[in-house]
Amino acid sequence: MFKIKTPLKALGASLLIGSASLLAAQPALSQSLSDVLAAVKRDSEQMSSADAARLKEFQADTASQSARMSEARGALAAAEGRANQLSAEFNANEATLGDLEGQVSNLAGDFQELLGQFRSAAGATMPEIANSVANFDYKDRVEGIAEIAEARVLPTRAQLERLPKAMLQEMIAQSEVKTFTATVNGIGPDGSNAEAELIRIGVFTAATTNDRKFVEVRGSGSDTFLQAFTTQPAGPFASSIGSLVRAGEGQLVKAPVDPSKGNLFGILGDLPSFADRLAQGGAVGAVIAFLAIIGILIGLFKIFTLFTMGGAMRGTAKTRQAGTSNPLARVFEVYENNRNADVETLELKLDEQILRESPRIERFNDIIKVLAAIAPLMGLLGTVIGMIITFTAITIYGAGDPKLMAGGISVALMTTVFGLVAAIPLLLIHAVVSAMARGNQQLLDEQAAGLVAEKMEAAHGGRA
Amino acid sequence: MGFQDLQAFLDRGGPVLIVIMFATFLMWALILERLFYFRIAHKHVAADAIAQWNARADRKSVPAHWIRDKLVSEVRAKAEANVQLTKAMVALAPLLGLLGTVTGMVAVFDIMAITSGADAKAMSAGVSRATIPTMAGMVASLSGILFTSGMDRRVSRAVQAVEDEMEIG
Repeated sequence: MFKIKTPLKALGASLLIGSASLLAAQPALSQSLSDVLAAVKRDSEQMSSADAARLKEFQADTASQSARMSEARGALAAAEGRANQLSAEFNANEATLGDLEGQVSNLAGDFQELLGQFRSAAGATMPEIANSVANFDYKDRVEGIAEIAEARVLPTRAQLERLPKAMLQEMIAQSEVKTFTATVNGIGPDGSNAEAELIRIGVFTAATTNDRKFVEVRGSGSDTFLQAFTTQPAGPFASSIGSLVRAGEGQLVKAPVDPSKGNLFGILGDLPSFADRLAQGGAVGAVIAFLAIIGILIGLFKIFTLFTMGGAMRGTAKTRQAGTSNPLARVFEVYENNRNADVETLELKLDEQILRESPRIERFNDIIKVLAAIAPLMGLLGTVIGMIITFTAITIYGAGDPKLMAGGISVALMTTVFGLVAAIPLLLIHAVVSAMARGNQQLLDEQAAGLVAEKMEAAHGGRA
Repeated sequence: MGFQDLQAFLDRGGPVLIVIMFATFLMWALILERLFYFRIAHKHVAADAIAQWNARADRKSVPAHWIRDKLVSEVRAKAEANVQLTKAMVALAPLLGLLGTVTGMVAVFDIMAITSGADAKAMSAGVSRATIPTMAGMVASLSGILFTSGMDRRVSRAVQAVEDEMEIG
């Protein structure tokens, strides 16, 4: 609003001033025209003299300008001449270059093709060497080869020699068993990277010497590193690498070699462990394991008691000492208590005592037998349950993916294994226990009477 | 068949085959022990018992019968020793074979899970671990049955013969 108002005010003001000046010009008309004429003449003379001076000046200028013009033309001509000359030179150089390139390719000839072959060979060998355990022993081979494989200029002779040297070294490394030091990822405390002393078998297998952890080469291209397996191969592998570490120079030991450079050990880690196997058996497996443990404990207890009982009875059979410590001694005790009774009464009393001892000898034997019989049956039950799980999985998901069926199949197989593993020792233990019980029982059944008779005869002297 | 072949065979059969091998050795040791007992030692044992009986003045009374029972029972105990265990070993061999079958199948399924497919070559190791122990268990059991089936009869006949020799009166 204010901005629009302000120019309007200014316009008004200027109009007022203009009209005032017109009013002021009125008195000038009173000057004489001759004065004006004189003034005009004076002015015009002044101006023509100034014009003449400027004209002179211009004319002088023109001469100098044309001199400069001709000078510039001369420079241009010189430059053009030089341009022509340089372009000719360039063309000549171009021609020489083409000539020389032709000469080079002419001279390189077969070598050019050889170089292509060399590069492809270097490209093929590089990952091979980079993924080799020996590469952490003989370092800086990959970089040297990578340099040649990627370069676009003719390599020098020294560079060319790197590839066969590296290959030769790899071959030699395959035949070596030696220790070296390298950085292994995730081996230090809290999974940090740490330097470790490693032993390698050829280029195939490597393990740390102090805690016998197998390592593998990870990573791709020229950027590879050593890492310990997350699941270490256990059992014979760990112990044989231990014997290799301990072995002296030139000694012959058995050691694990993974020709796939770590893949097989990786698969080994994927295999279910013993605990996994136990878990695969499921509830039925747990029941079988429980039964097996009960049966074996009872069996061991029976073997121990029957063994000590048999020993004591054989001792008593020699000494004929009455007592209460073992069945035979108790039979003698009965005889001692009834030595004045007639023979029939004595026989009855002895039979009664023997009958009383029998259950103690035979006790628990049948439980072992029943457990030995139940274990494979339980295994069979587990098999059927596992098959039901499998077929349920097939019904729901279809038969396309074998992995979905794996759970049921592993239940089926592992329970069968558990059943057999439980039944076999139980059967053996039962055979041993029943043989021992039978021996003890026989000693008591038939020998007791005989031993008593011998004792009677001895007591009565020559009278019998 | 050299030692190398045997080792290759045992390798293919897996750990269960080694157990079967030892079980078979044990079984045959027991069988041979029994055979040699009846061939050699039993005669002396029987003769000893009969001589002891014949040396007695009193062969009529009730205590004399008890003593006769005792002498016969000693002969029987010696004749029967290990028979039970031998029979148990014979019964055990096929069970061990079956164990081999199942563990071999587990190995096959492990390979199937790892290779996630039907790599017949990779599975063949598991298959041979399944079949070789089965066969070995059967062979061991059958070879043992031949000798153990008659053993009970042989024991009772031997004991009976000793008993018959001991005349009463």
